[in-house]
Amino acid sequence: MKPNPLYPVEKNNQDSNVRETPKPFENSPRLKSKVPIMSWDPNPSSYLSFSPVQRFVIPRCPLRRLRPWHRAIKGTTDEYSGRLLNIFPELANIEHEEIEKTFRRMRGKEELEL
Amino acid sequence: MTLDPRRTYIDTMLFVYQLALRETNIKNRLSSEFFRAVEEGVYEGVITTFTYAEYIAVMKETLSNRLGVRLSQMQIEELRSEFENFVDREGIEVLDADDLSSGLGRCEIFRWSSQVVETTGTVEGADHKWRTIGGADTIHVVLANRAGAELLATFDEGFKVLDDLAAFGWSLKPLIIPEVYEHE
Repeated sequence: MKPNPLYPVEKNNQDSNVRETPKPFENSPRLKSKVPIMSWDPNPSSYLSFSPVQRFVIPRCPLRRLRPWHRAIKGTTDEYSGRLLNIFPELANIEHEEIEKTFRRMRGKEELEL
Repeated sequence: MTLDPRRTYIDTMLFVYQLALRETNIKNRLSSEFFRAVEEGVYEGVITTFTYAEYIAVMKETLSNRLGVRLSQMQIEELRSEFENFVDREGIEVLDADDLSSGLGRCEIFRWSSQVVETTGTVEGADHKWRTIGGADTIHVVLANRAGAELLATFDEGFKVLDDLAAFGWSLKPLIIPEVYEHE
């Protein structure tokens, strides 16, 4: 069998796209191990749903502040409103819908356009 | 009488709208209303390093689409610097998301996120579409809870389902920005 001429292969790799007679699939010897797969499942009836709860409380943890809260410098909001437009003028005519679409996709909420 | 500021976890989009949209855009105006309230001490803002990661991701993709090129390291550094300076001057507390998702004792951030999904319902938005919160949203919810936030400020109406968590002993409430400021 000759290699497909439309498929570029390196000279020393001419056999790479030659169709071979398929061999019966066999698990690798490692997968044939007799050691059972262990799982920790305290509730075998369902591992995805939780039993009904009356209270659902997340324990508090110590807060290590990278920046502590402090009173704001007056005028910061107005000073920084649209500030990136000074650095990236390409943002001048951008609408929030365009940014929102990117954000929704990143949060896995992209709506299908039909 | 001065009220104590309400500790508020700030969703990523407020930063994007504040920094990247022109002042005439409605979402920029609404974000600015909220951040002015932070300045005035109505809210005590808190974010995590996860917020920063999301901001950078959104801005990188938006800008790359606009510029038609991959952003340089210097451009990414400018995005980071503007974000960090704004957060610093606005007095917003920054917490390490890794600290909040580890800490003392067993930490079950994904189990807690799943429980948030299981214990909340859906809400009908202003556009009559039904919404809820999903994977990354619930991680923010868990981080906000761990950060001790009382409110979660967002544009996303899906977060209204946080009200359902009150029945389970939660004090975290949604602060839906368009509903708070639009009609003022």
